[in-house]
Amino acid sequence: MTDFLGARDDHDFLSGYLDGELTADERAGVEAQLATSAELRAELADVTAARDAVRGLPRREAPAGFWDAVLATVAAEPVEATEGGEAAPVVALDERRRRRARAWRIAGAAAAAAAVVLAVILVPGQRQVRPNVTGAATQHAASSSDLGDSIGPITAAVPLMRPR
Amino acid sequence: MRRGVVASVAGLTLVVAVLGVALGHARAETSSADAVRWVQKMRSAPGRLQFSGVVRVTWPAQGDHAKVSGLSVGITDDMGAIEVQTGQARVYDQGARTYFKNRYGWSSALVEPDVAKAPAPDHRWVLVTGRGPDVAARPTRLVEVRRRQGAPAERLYLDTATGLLLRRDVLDPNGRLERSLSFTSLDIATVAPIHAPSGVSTHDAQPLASAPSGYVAPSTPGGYVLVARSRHPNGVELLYSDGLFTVSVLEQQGDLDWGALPAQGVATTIDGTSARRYSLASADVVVWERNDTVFTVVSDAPRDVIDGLLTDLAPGRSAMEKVVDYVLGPFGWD
Repeated sequence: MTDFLGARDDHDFLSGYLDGELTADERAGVEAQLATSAELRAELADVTAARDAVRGLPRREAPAGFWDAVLATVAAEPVEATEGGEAAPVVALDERRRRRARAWRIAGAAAAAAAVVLAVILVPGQRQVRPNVTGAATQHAASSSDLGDSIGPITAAVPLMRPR
Repeated sequence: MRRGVVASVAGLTLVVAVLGVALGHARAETSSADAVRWVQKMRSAPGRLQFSGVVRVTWPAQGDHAKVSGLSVGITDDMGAIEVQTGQARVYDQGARTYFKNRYGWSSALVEPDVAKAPAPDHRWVLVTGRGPDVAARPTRLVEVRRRQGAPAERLYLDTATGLLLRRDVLDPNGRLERSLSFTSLDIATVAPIHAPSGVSTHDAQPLASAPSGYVAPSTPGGYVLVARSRHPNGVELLYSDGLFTVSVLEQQGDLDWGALPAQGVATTIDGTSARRYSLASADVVVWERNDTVFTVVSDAPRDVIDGLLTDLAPGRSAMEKVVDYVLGPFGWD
């Protein structure tokens, strides 16, 4: 049996499988391996859970100036023309690996920071209570009246707050 | 012989002492029962009479006493209604329904309390009667409401002829006046026409058999008895009575917006929790927040009596809360 997953990164195949982006052969190959590999099924479950969690997050507008900052950063990257005429960064292989590792660390830190921010934003805030002091006093006088103090309402009609 | 005399004297002394205690107790009970009858007569009087008059209200505010005169009162038994009007505020009490009017118009939001659940007037007070001074040129019967320790908490001056309440003084434990209401003139059987309010908006208020989860509703805090619970659109309201004074407790879940409270009032604490207290003509109002619930307590009782209830309403804070309050106290904004 063809080991489809050995030819590409596991995550790429599983993501493509979940997104319906694989060819019929690739899809059949993935399903065959899933049928025989508990480890792969567990991996698929992890990927599915992670995707669901990410997709469950609310969409938020980027803060003002964010995209301008991204574009400015990209524009500042050193680039060199490729064979096809397209501009692309040119870096050594070791440097690329270091960058990738650093990028993952940064991404991890950013994800953690985003999670904290989202937690603060998404935790339902307590509503602000503004008690009606004078209204409560009037209500009380009415209740007192119902309990037998018929003269009680008299005082409730007095201007409730003395002018300063 | 000598031993016999000593025994006789001792026995006689014991009998006299027992009789004295018994008589004293009986005398107190008789006096209290008489006072209770006067209180009951006072409560039924407005429904039996037609009268109008002018009332003077005195209450402490910002450290001194403010007086409001010229408050007109019209009471009639045509509909069992009472109407009071001064300025924009207006109260119309018709039997089992009370309406009040402010600048937004008439409204009524009451769930009527079960009067049968209210304790007797002497539930927690010692009531004694005596002859009172003339009020509004009418002779009165004085009913003094005493704390168990003996200090008077309230004096009721009732019209001897009709039982109508002509004057009421609420006193602190040292006998100082906290709040007073007194007719300065009274015309019985002279009544201005009273018209029931129209266009009354009734808020949704449902009686509750028990307090919902998350709300505090002790049944007998500070010697009071819970006589009504209701849910309003913005919270839960409780009504307590001790037989003479009443306490309303409104609980609203959320954070207290201190900045939205009226500027009047003074800062105070309830078991270490910051609170704000207002002294109004009709009652004291105390507002504070605890465990994400905002309490608005209103009572016409003496301040020391209210404070006893407040402590029972706000169960003790945890050690951690006290530590947090201690640390953050200097940075409080209220």
